[in-house]
Amino acid sequence: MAEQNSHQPESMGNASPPVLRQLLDRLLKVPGVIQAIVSDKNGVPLDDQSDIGRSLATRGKVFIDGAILAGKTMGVGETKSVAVHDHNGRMLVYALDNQYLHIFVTKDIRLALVEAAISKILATGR
Amino acid sequence: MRDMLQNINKVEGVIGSLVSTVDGEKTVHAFPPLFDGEHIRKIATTISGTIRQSSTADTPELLEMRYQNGMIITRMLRGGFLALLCTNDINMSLLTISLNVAKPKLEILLAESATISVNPDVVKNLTERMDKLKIAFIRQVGPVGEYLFEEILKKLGTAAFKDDDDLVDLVDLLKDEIESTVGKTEFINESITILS
Repeated sequence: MAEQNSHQPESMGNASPPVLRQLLDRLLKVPGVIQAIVSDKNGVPLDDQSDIGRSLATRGKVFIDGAILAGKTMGVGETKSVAVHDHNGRMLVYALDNQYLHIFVTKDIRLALVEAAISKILATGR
Repeated sequence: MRDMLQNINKVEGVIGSLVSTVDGEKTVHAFPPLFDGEHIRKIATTISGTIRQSSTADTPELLEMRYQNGMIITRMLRGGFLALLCTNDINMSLLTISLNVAKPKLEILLAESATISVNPDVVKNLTERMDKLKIAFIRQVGPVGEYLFEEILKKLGTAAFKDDDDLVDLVDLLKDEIESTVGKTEFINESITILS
């Protein structure tokens, strides 16, 4: 279970494709991050058309859409992110302006540390 | 089950909690009164639907939905799930320990209550109608009706009241206590109105 839940990523919704690629490459360098892709709000990957990329984006969309609906029901404000823990690892889905960021993280690392590093990259671009 | 949920709610930062069957149909909750039956039903079915849609292969063990003003945490149980509404400053380590302790107990209770619907709104509705039946009964038999009503409830067992069929059984026993044919007819007619 993640210990950290207050940090939020900045938007990368207007990033041009090369800038987006650079950000994703930086995210992939975070220890524990196996995959990072950005999709539109229909769950269609913008930069990764592989089967694994599409599968991650499709699954991530289900969770973030569910979170948005659940959040509206309970009146908890804007949806920020979802962390999904299963026996294979952890998936993080961030709701950005017009896109979703999907990140798959190994199970053998503290999620809070990974999330802190991700937030720093999203906030500063570095 | 509600006692367990109320204990979980004592963890600082937990606003409310619910346990649901995996299909989201049967829920027991301990949420503040502001959250009515519609909120509970909707959140249970939303979480259930999300889990079912997510994948057939990898069922999530834990979901953390993070928001501007709080979190919704869902822990999978055997046969269902536990969902908590929390503030953002909740101590997750403390919550994890509490959930680890509660999980096996909740799974046992969930298995035991799998056939029992204990939606508090349904219970409240049944209780209100039961009270109306009691008044209608006393109107026909007089003050002794209060005592007779309680005796019949004891005979049926209060735990038996889960749905309208149980109220029909109650009416059936009550009418037999009314000697006057006219009174019996009036009571039955009034009961039909109450139950319809």
